[in-house]
Amino acid sequence: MRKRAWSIFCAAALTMVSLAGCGGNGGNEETKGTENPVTETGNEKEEITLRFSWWGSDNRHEATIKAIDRYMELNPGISIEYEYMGFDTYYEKLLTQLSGGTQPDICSIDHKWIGDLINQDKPFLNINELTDIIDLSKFDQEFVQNFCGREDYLIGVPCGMTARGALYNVEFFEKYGLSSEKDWTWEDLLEAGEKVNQQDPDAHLLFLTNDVLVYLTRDLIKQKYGENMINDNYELVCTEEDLKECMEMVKKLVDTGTMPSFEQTVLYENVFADQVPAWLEGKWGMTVLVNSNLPSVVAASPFEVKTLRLFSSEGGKDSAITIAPTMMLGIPKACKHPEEAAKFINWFVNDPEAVEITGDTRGVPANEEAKESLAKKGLISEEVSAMLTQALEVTVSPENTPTLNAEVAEAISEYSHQVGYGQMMPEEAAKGLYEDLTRLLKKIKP
Amino acid sequence: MGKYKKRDLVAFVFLMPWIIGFLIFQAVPFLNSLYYSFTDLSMLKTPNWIGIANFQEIFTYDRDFRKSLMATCIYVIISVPLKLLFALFIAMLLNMKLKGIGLFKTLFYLPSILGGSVGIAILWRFLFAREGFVNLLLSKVGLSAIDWLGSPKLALPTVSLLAVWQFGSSMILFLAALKQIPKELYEAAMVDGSGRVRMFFRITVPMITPIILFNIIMQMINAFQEFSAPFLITQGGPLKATYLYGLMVYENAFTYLKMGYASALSWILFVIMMALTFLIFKSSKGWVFYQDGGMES
Repeated sequence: MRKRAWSIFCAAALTMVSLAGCGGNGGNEETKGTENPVTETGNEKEEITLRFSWWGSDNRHEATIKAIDRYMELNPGISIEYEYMGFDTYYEKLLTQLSGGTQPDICSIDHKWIGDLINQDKPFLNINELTDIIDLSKFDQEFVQNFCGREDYLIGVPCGMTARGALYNVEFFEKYGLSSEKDWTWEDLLEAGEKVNQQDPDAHLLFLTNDVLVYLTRDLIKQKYGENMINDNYELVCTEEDLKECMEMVKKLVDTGTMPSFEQTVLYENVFADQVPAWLEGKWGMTVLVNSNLPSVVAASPFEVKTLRLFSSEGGKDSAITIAPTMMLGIPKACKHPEEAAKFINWFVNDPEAVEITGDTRGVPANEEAKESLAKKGLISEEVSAMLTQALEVTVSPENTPTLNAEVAEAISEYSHQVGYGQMMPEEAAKGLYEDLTRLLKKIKP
Repeated sequence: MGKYKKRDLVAFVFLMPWIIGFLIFQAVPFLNSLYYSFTDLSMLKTPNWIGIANFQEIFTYDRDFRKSLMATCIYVIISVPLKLLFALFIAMLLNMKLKGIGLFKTLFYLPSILGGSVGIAILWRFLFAREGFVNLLLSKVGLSAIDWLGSPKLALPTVSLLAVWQFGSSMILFLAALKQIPKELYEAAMVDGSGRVRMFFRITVPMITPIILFNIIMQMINAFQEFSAPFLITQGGPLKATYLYGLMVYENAFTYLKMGYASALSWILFVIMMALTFLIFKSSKGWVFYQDGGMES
């Protein structure tokens, strides 16, 4: 018995540790093949199989699969396999695949990972070197070069352009006498939130995902200073006092009843409104999200919804609205058929037929021509384009790597929660956050 | 060499698939991770040797480490005894001679087959959500809704309950042990006028102590490595109340891309589990009773 217990114990411990042990330096070796892109034209007309991976919701999956099927019809000899999943673990899977050499040939990349991936020795081909195959002429050059890479390195071709904004339940607004005629400041938000909660203690104006809760601090700082919370030198641009104001905002949102208590919302902090019962029942009336997530929320909501520009600070220097490329399609350096993968990407983002099949399932197309043709045919949903338009009317600037760092985000999230739960006063939280961030930034600065 | 016969060779050949699998998928990653724990390995870059810096950071600065270790210990302390008591209780029920006992055994084992699955964790989330079934029951008896998973105090016990639900494998072992207790012992005790309670503590428990030992160790090891329940139900929240060790290792590895750091964390957990197992084995001399006199250690 004893020996058996020991051996099982050891086995179990090993399994546990092996989870962490599976990093690899294989990536480096595999990149060698890419210096001479494979040329498979000519004598051998073998069946080429490409793998394409993306994340998203059902309507995106269906449209993409339809497009893939069409491409295979048009291009005999090319077969495209696909793997799709939810967003929350996509990145983990992608990194594991990259480090193990089992990555797809066409990967979807989120803008939040650009900095990380560049620091990780750039595992994707520079699209700027593939422009003879991938036609980028119909894209807003400034957007592509500034938002989808760094300097001359373009990590992928953006499928769409997204913007962050607020979404509200029109009936809810009418019921509590709120108006959205003009843009809201944070003060307007608090005032409206208090008004709602006073009329009905069970009703709350605003609920946020964890992501957006973190953005709250980043946004307030960016609005105040006109630049990202952490600059490219990995330095905080704000003071401890500024952070205190951010933490106070969290506290005010909870104290005024604008937001429900954290006890109630914490379970829904990683899902969008379409999975939040209180939103669907009309008890919580407003949320903040990225417009590429709108279609599923609009479809699930049994009431009329409208978009509102993100809350601003009076006299702010920047809107702090994030405009971002969505689902950049990249080709890993280890891909065996980079040319074929590039051809598919080119078709996927440029071909009128592909554009029509995929519609607005990846946000508003970043390809201007595609955007116009979809808009003409009425294939972009009203809310999706409204949120982007509202964002593009004000000053926006790209976010940078250090501000988007996952550990930085975790620190902001942790202290925001401490304040939201009433475990810490804003002052104390700001002090802790300032110290933690200062220390962290020193460590992560490359 | 003369000792080894053809028989041994055959046995060895049959064991080969396991040995190869063990070496490739367990021994190599195991040793690799020990090396990586002294490096700054991230996902795709070549690692640099950084000595004990990871361990220094963990022990001197990392607040999450302390929080997580504490949460994990509480989780183990709640879930393991509860699970074993429950398993023993059900095993004793099933040990009675009843009609259709086979069916009951299957039914009671079912949660264990399902329990580790993603589906059940999600179900748990729904059951204990604010609008969930548990609160619905409470409201029927006039109590107000409780945020089981939203409150930093209640979340960990609630998640621990999910583990208790997966008592099946311990139960089967207890049942097997109960069946092996010679009937004569009970008969003799009854003749001497013992009650049921007395018989339970004086005969049943001592006779199954080897299985209790085995179950404690196995369940403790499992509990220390729990990952899926907190990952799926609470993502470690609220306020890191359910940020169990496995989740912390995972986040460091895959969210922060600190593979080397995560390896170091894994090794610390390994050492802790090893030490605890050792202590339990040491203590077992005092309380485990082997009918055949036990094994020489």
